[in-house]
Amino acid sequence: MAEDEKKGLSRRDFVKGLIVGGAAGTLGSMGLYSYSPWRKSHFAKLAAKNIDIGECKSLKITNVSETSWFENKKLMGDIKGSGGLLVNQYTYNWPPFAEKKGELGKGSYEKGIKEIKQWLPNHLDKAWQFQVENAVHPENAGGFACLIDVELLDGSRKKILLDSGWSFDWMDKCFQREGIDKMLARREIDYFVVSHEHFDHFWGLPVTVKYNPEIPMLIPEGFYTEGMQYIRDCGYRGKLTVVKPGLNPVFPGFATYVFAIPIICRVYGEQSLYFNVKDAGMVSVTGCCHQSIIQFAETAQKTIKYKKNFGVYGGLHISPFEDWDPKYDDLVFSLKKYQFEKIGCNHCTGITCAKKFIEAGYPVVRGTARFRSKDTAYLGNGDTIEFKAAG
Amino acid sequence: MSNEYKIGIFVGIIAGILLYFVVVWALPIMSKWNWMLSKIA
Repeated sequence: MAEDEKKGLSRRDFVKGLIVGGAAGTLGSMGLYSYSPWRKSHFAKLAAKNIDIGECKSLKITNVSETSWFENKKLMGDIKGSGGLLVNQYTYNWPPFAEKKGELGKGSYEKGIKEIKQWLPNHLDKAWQFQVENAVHPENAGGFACLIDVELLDGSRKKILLDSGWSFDWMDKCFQREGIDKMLARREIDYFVVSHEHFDHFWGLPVTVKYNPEIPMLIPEGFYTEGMQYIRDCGYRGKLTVVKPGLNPVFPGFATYVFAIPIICRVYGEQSLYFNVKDAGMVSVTGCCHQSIIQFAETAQKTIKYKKNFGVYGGLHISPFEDWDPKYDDLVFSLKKYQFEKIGCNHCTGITCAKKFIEAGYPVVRGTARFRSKDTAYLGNGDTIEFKAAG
Repeated sequence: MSNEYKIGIFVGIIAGILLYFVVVWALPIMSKWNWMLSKIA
């Protein structure tokens, strides 16, 4: 050391430099590496399953009802008043499970069904009259349902009813308006698919059962005991299939997919639909899309063999209560990646979100704002959308 | 800033980069070797 110092060299300075340089080199490498494509080499590789579900020729969707409820304020007020978003939906004293002079948040399935069971499914007017007199906000109930008419490659057709809405009165009128009542009675609808157990998609079940108590029905695994009992209490006597989580091919070009997810109001599991349209691409149809539109599109890409995304229809669950948060803008932006060529949104997508889609330049199919649908920014009640290859 | 300090920084940066890539690349590869050796044994 003494000799080094004599020569004008300082070991202390070298070590100081080594520490500073070492730290700079390590941190700099970390920074550069985290932005480089090499970082992906450490991610687990997810192999696409590429399951072939076949192809169909085209599909046409008729929006029977997308107005699940008519006033957000009443709906949110009732949910808050019952104890919040995690409270069992059967306890709200909402129709059709109201007890006599039902009070908010103090009901139960057992007490509610006892009052109407004798009228199910053939005297729904009487059952609904009881709700008008006793339930909490019966006038706010609407419902979600749509009819999917699929043309197969051989030219034959299959019809699917997705969901049965909520209010017996409203849904019966909607069914009559679109001719669903007659199609059910003539056994022209091949499948009844229930997306999930929520009040606005499932509680109108007796309206479907009234016209066809034997229609093959597909529900997602995860229904609670009240929901399963309701199917029996409605007088349903057809073939009930409880679909397990994952892909469930039904006929060429059509499969359902059950997402095992917890949902607000104490519901579990959502079933969505995939249609592979020949020369056009994948059409994803959803009731409420609680799994999120991103997971919905990603699941198709990872699971099913198809060329490209073509369309999406249904409630996309982005701003169902017309609230907006900057993080939803990211969702709108990231949807671009999937390159949908036709977007038919409504219901829990939110009018605010539909307008953001239009502003972002997405191919949103506009509606006509009839039958109590509020805006032409999206497909409303009675509107239709078709998905098929051009030319 | 002395020459020794500058040399130290230069050597340190090189060492830091090498150290980081040893952690990122060499260790995962080595852990795979261990896994393979354990299968053979």
